[in-house]
This record gives sequence, structure tokens and C-alpha cells, in this order.
Amino acid sequence: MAVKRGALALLAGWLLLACEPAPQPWPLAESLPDRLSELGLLQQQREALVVRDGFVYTLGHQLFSDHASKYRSVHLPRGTAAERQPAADSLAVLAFPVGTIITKTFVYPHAAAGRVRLEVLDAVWGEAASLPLTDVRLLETRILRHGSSGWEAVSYLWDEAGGDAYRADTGALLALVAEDGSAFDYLVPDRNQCAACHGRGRQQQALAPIGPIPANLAAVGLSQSMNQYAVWQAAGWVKDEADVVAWPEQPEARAYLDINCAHCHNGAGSAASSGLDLRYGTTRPWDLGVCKPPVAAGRGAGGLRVGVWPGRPEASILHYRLGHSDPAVMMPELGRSLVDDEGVALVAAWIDDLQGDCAHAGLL
Amino acid sequence: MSSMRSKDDPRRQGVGRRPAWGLLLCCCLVLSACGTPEEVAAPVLPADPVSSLRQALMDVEPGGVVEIPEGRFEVDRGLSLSVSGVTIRGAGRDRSVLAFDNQRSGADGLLVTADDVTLEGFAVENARGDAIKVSGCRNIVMRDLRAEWTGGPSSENGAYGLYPVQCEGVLIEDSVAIGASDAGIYVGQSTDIIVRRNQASYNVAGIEIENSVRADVYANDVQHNTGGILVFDLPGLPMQGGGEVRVFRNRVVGNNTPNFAPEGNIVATVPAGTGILVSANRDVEIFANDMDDHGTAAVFVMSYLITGRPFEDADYDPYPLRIHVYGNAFGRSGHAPDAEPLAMLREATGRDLPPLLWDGFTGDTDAPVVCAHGNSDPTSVSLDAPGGFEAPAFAADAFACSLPSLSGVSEAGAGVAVPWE
Repeated sequence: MAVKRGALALLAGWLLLACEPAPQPWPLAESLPDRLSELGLLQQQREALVVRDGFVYTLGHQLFSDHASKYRSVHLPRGTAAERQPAADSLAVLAFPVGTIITKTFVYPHAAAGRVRLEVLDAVWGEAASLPLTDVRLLETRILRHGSSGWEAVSYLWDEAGGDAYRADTGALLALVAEDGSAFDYLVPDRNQCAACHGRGRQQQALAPIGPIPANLAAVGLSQSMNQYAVWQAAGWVKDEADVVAWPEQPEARAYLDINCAHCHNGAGSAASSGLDLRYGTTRPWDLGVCKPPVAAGRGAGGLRVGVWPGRPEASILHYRLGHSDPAVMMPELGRSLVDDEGVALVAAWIDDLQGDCAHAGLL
Repeated sequence: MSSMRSKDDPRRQGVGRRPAWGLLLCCCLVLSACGTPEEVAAPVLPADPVSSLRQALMDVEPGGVVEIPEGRFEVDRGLSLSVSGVTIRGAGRDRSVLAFDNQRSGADGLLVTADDVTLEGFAVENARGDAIKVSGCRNIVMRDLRAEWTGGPSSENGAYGLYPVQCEGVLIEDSVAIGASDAGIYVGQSTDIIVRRNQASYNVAGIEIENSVRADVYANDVQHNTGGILVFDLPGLPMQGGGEVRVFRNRVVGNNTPNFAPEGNIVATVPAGTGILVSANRDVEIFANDMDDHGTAAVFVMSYLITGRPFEDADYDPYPLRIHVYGNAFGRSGHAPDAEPLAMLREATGRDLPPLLWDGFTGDTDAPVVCAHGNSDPTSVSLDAPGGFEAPAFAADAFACSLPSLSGVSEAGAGVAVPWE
């Protein structure tokens, strides 16, 4: 019976799609659909992406994605809310209920001759009904869905002319050209690559959102008391009475490293074997790479002897790898082919300010 | 190039990706209502074998097999598998080749993050970073594989060829690793390991067992690396206390390739011409190896302290302990030491260095650092590295003691459910 009902629901969805712009919500029991429009959450209209039954948010610190602008929305099942979960050794995270869908849409402003501008657009957040698509190239929308047996992730590639995006399990490399004529590869992750960042634990099997944590949501807002997280609290989207402060304790570079690196470098994640732990809450200098020799960095070591040499960014592997774009050298390993100059400068300034020295000499 | 471009076409991706049940069902129902069922369009299949492989690696069910056909396939992005119990099988390590010469994304050729996986019968060539990395697993079997950088030794080559890390149960057999700028076969932070009948050549380290417990390394052919077989323990890693490693019946010859590791890596400190190198491990048994032609040493036992690198790990023991070296044929060695203090020593004595070298760092223990007996040449030298190589001690019987044999690793322990041969 269950199978039949599913098939009927599916059929109903298809028939509705043909004649009506607003399809039914996609059943949680079904695997994610082939076309993004079937989810019924985002719909391309002329110069906007219309968001249904969700709210648009942005983040204080974001993973660098080759200067692409990212529009995010979260869709909670009716009558549910996220919950704040304190973590013992790092910042609190949000637990989203089963049925939650998070979307992230990647766009670049158009430049002449089919090129793209490497310019991050103004963030959009709040209970906005649509995302502006004026004069932008729409690349992909990544979906995280909290199914009954955990989160799943897949990306959808946009066919702008067709007004829909299509499921791309195997990902893609898109050859883009920046305004100045330089070509770069834009990576649409395959499903396993989604898990490479979103997966928790050594085998990256259990996926979870990364960016929308209270401290990072609170980093956006009109004021400290009217920050984005406070808005979520007031609207009942999150069950939490606490006053949450944006990235409360550490230099800004530590927030940048947390968001860009700690999904792997967290002591238990896929980069645990490196011994490098770049979570915001990490306090031991050695764990942060200070005077720590590389383990299996290969060419990534760049002839340098330690991860972080206080006062000497140019002698620090961390700085070297962030500033590189060779796949064998660069960090993060996935999700960029360009260098985040601003982020590198932020980390360089942080290393510059650190106290200490790693001077040592080898005998052989 | 044109085929790659067409793969990126979103329409083609979406519709062609999966002839989904829902879609088929829908079409049938709708079309049958119209009375023209014959006109159902055939689903478009993924355009090329690499896309098919990538899709298969994601869709395979636990226990399933993913086949790699015969041929040489250009792959521009790293591949990965995260489904347990899967076998990835090619037509043979020289017949099914995944070529990453033009890899533009991802550091690894193939990344496996799953348990009970068998990889066999294929090659990964010229990966930008590591060729085949298996991370955080239980029971990995790697058989008849080839990880190779085909341009010869170069610091531009990727770091590791066959690279299981943080795994419980590792079997690597009948495989080939060539040209890695770190280690051809590298087992790190793992337990219960068998590495046998492999060929490792023209890597910086042929075979390296690092921060790992219980390993049998035997019947391998290890030639023309910088260092042949390395047994290391490094500080500051989640898994510490490497030991219980047996290195036996290997052919270890002519590992004199100049060190081409990128500076900064621990193997960049390995002197060329080192047959077997033990650093800071305990309970290592080195026996019945057939060795020859090592310019620095046949067997070099050292402390982590000799690297001069700092460490802040209270639990880390930087000293080697109970290294049992017996019944080996050393062949020629010590004729061209690739380290200044050693070269000066050879100059000063006017003779080749003995086959067995110990750096001379001792911890606070009464247990023997090295026991050696029954080797083709009984001589050794303690280098007095702590004293700046001022008072090296040559001896013919400096390590005259014996140690109980280690029990070794069973195939069952290494994750293979067949009896011990």
C-alpha cells in the first residue's frame, strides 16, 4: 500500500506541475527529485528566485567559494523549530528537525561576453519572499535535507533558460571566465564531495549543516539586539531564550578558520590524522599548528617546517596552503580554485600577532 | 574536451542521470492514456565511462561491486567511495587505468571512507596529491593495484601511493607503487596490517609504517627508493605508540635515489641509501631480509630527537626500543653516506660504515635498544649523535642479545576471512 500511495503522490506532483506553478511539498519518504522545482521551495521567475515556506538567511563568516554569492534559505516543517545545542569543546550548533530543507544557491554577476564578475553581492536575509536574480548567472542550488535517517546532500545545476535546475549527483566542473579574462574551474560537488565537508566523523557518513550556527547567524543584523539570530528566536524558528553573541572570544581569523577549515580539522573529522584542530574553541597552540611539523602534507608543506610560526606567516604552512590554488597544495581541498586574498590576509595578520618562536635546528 | 563540456550541460545531467522510476511510471501512465506507449524515449545514459564510474561509486549498495572496464580513462576530479562492503574491481593493474594527468580538483585520486572495502585490479596514475587514500576504516584490502607517477622521481609528484590511514585491518598485496614524493605504500595510524608481495620503487620511502601497531611487512620487492622500508613513530598525532612490527623476507636493494621529498616533510630527512629505517618505534623485528647496495646503511635505528624537530607531546616516547635485527643478508652498505656527519665519519676512518647504525640517543630504560645476531655482517656503530658525533663507537658485538619473537599478524586480524597461508 505504501508503495502505491507514493507512486500516486509522485504522479499527482507531475500532473500538478504541468498546470500549476505551486506543487505539493516533496514527500520526505521519496528520494530527492530530479528537478529542483519539484521540491516546491524555490522557483525561478524573471529576475528572482521565489522562496516558498521558508526564510532567507545569511552568515557572518562563510566558506570561500571562488567569490560566488550564496543565497541561503531554510524550510522547517510547519509547527517545528530548531534547537540550540551547546557543544562541550566548541561553539553551540543548531539541531534542525526532521523534514528541514536548507538550500544554497550560487550566483555570479554577469560581465560582458559571457564572463562573470568576481564580486560578492549584498547579502539577503529575513523573511524575504524572493532572491534577486537581476543580471546574475545562476549556477547551482545545493540541497541539504534532514531525512528520517539523517541529512542528505545533493546539488542541482541550473538551466536558466529552462527555468529549472537538475539534480547532478556526479557534480561538474564548469569552465568560467572572470571579467579580466582569466579562466577558472568552478566545482559543482558530487554527492560524496558534499559529504566530504558536511560529513561528521572519520567516515563522513553522518551529514550536518555547517554554517548556520547561533554565533554565525548572530554575526548578521541591524544591531546586537536585532541580530539575525534574535530574529529567529523572536519568530519562533529556534527554541532558545539565550542572548547569543557573534563569535564572542577569539580574533576574527579564528572564526574564519572555524568556518573554512574545522569541518575537517576538528579532532574527530576526516582530517583528524593530521593532528590539526582549527575549531573556534581550540586553545592548545600545538593543536592549532603552532610549531607543529607537518604529518602527511606532501607538497602542501611547501618546504616549510611548521604549521604556524608565530610572527612569521611566510614561514607557516597554514598560510602557504590557504594562499595556493594547486589541488595538491591548497586548503581547503575542495570548493575553490581561486585564492581568497582577504581571508589569507586575515589569517596572516593573526599569525603575525601570535607570540612565540619555533626556532630549532636539525642534526642531520 | 568536448565530451567533458557536454557532460556539464545541466539538461543532459538532470534527465540523463537516472531513468527514475517515478519518471518512467509517469510517462507510461500519461502516455498510455494517450494510446501511444511505443513513443517512450529511451533514457539518456551518462556520456562517458568516468561519469558512469562516478555515479556507480555513489549508487552502489553495501556489498556491491563497481567494475572499472579495461582502458585508460582521464579523470579531472577526484573520485570517492563512502559505501561499506563494496569491491571496486578493474581488469588488472596494467589494464584498467585511471589517469589523473589533468586533475583539476580534489587532492586525492580515489578517496575511500567506508568499511570492509576491497580495491583490486586497477591503477591510479599521476594523481595531484595522494593516489589512493583510505581514511578511517575497518578492514581494507588493496590487491593488484598500481599507484604510479609516470614521469619518474620528482618533488612535483603526489605524496602517497597506497595510503590507508586510521584503519583497523589492512591488507596490501601484489601491488605496485612508483614515484611517490613521500611514501609509495604508507600505512599510518592503523592497526593489524599486512603488506606483502608488493613492489615499491623510485619513491622517497618505498614502504612506510607510521604510528601503527601490529604490522607484518614481508616478501616485498623494494628497490631504488631513497629509503627502502621505514618504521616510524611521530609525535602529536591522535594515534601514538607504534610498534609490534615485523619486517622480514623482503628484497631491499639499491635504495639510493636522491631524496626528492618536498622539504618540510619528515621523509625529507631520510638519507639516501638507507635500506630499513626505524625511528622511535618499539618491538620491531627485522629478519631474513635480502639486502644489498645501500650507500648510507642497511639498517638505521634512530630516535626522533635526531631530526631536531620540536615536539610538545608528553605521551610521546621519542626513543626506539627492542629493535631485533637478525638473520639478514646486508650485502654492501655504508659506502656513500648521504648525511654530512656520516660522510665525515667514513672519511675519517677510511672505511665503509658498518651495515647497522644507531644514533645513540637513549631514554630512561634498562631494556635493550637493539639486539642483533646472525646477520651477514655483525658490525655496527653507535653514532653519538647526542654528543655531536664526537665519539662514535664501532663494535662487532655491541648489540649481542636476543628478544622473544613477535606473534605476527593473522589474515583474520588484517580483515581477511581466509586462513593464514
